[in-house]
Amino acid sequence: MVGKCSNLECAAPINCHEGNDKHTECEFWINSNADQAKIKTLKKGNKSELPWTGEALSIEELGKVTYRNSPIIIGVVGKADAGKTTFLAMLYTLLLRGGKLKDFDFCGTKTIKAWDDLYHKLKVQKESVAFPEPTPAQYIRLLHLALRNNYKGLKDVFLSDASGEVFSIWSQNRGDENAENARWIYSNSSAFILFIDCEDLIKRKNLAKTEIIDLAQMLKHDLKDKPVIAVWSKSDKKQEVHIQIRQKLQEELTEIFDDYVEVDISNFSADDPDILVHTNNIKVIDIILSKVFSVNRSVIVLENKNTGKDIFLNYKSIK
Amino acid sequence: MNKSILLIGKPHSSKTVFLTQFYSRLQKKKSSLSLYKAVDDLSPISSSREALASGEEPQTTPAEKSVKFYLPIQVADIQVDLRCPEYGGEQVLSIVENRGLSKEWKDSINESNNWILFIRLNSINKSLDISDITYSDQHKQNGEVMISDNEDKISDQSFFIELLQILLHSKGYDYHQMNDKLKLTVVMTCWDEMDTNEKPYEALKSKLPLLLNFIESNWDKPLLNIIGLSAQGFALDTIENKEKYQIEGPEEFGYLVMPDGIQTKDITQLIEQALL
Repeated sequence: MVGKCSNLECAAPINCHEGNDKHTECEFWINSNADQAKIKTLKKGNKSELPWTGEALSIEELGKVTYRNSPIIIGVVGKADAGKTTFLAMLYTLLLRGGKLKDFDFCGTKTIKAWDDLYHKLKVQKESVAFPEPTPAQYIRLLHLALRNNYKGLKDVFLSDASGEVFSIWSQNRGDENAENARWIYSNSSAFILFIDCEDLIKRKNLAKTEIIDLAQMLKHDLKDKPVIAVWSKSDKKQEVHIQIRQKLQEELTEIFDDYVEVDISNFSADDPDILVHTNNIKVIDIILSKVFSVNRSVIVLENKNTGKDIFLNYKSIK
Repeated sequence: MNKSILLIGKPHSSKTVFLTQFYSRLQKKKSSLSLYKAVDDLSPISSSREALASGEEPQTTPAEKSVKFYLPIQVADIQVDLRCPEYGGEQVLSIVENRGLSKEWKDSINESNNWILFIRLNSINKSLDISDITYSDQHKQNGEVMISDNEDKISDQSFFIELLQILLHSKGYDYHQMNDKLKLTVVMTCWDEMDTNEKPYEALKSKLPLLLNFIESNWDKPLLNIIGLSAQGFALDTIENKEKYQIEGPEEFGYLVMPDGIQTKDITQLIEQALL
C-alpha cells in the first residue's frame, strides 16, 4: 500500500512512531491516508454529492450499501494466483455479454467502476489478454451486485477480493497478525467459494493439494452451516492433474464438507459457447446463492449506524 | 395539466436531428400535436434546420456547447414541456465522470416523471474480450507477458447503467420497490444505420443485455417502453437522397419503430409514447 504518515518524522510503513505493531492501525497513518483518498475524488474541484464512487468498497465503506438491506457476503477464498480476481472479472464480462443468473435479475451495483476495470483486463488487445494483476497483500475490497429475486425482492450481494497470500498465512495460523483480512472474510461471509488451482496441482502436485486441504480444514473449523463450494479453476487443464491427486483431493474435500459441491471453471474457451467458461463461471454464483437462500441459515447482518466506521455485527436469521 | 419530459442522450446520439425534425413537423402541421406557445429560443436547432432543408447532414452540436432547449407541446388537453437540459451531451458524460448533477439537471429530473433515453446503438463499442474467442495455447502464452494498456474509460454498457443509477438516486428512487411512477422510454436512434429487422427490444437485448436487465428489473413493465427512431430516415450522402430533402422537405422523412416492430412516419408520436 502506498501512503505516508502525517508525522513527517515517522518512518512508516517501515516502523510506526507511535509504537504500534502495525502502522495501518495508527491514527496518524489512517488520518493522513484518508485525506489522500479524499483528494483523489475531488478531481476538477467538484465534490461529488453521491454516496458511492463506483469503486470497490472497503470494509469501512460497506455501510454505504448495507443500510438498506442485510447483505450476503461471499468469501472468495484461495491461494495467490488461483484465479480469484479473474473469476470476478469473468463474471462481470459474462453479465455484460448477456449471461444471466438463474434466479436473480441484475438491478444495480455500487461498484461499477471496479467491475468495469476488471472487464477491461479481459479484453483482447493485440491478440492477447492481460488478466488482472495479483491482488496486493494488504488489500481487501468488496464488489457489489444488487439483485432482484423472482418475487421482486432486493438482495445485496458482495464478493470479496483479497490477496491469496493472506489465506495461505491464515491456513497455517489463524491468529497470525498478517491474516487479518482472511479472518474478516471468514467471520463476515455467509458463504465461501474455495479455489482449487488446477495448474498448481499439475506443477506442485501433492504439495499444492496439501495446501488446499489445510485451507479447507481452516474453513471448516467454525463454519456452522454456511455453504462452501469448491471451484476448480483453470479446468481446461484439469485432465492434466494426476488422477490420484484429483481423486484423493475430491475424497478428502467430500469428507470435510457436508453437501460437497464442486464446479469446474476456465477462462479459455475451446468451444463457443464453452461450458467451463460461459456457463460455469455464472453457475458458481447460482449455486452459492441457491444454497444461501435455500434454508433458514444464519447470516451476518451488518447494522449500520449511519457512520461508515461504526458498523457492528450481529447474527440474525433470514428466510 | 402540465407535464415535463426529460430528454437524455450522449453527444452525437441524434438529439439535434430529432428536435429539428420534430419542430418542423409541428410547424408544417404534420402532427396531431402542436405548440402551446412560441419557442423562446430556436437558435440551438437553427443551423440544423438550414442544413436539412438544403439536404445536408447537420453539423453535430459541439459537445461542449452547453445550451438548454425546450419545446412547449400541446398534447390533447395536456401541456407538455420537452426538456433537454443540455444540448451537446457533454454534461451527460460529465454526470458519470465527475459524479454530479448541475442544478438544471436536478430540477429537470425532479420535475419530470417521463424520461426519454437516446442510445445510438451503432456507436456502441464492444471490443473483443476473452469470452468471445476460442483460445489457442499460443494466446495463453502471450497472455502471461501481456501488460494491459489500462484505459481510463468505462464501457458503454456500464456507463448507461451508472448514468441511470445516478439519475435515479437524484430522483430519490428506492430499490426496494420497482419504479411505478417514473416512465422510461429507451429510444434507439439512427435506426436506419443498423440495417436490421429486429424489434427494438431484441436489438437492445442483443447489444446491451445487462443494461436491459437493469432496466427491466427496476421498471414495472407498463412504465417501460423500448422503441427505435430514425429522425432523418437515411444518410444524406448521395445526390439522390439530398434532392429528396431539397424537393419534398425534411419533414417528409424520418420514422419511428414501435415496440411491435411496425414503422410509423410520424416521429412526433414519440411524445405520446413517452407519456403513455
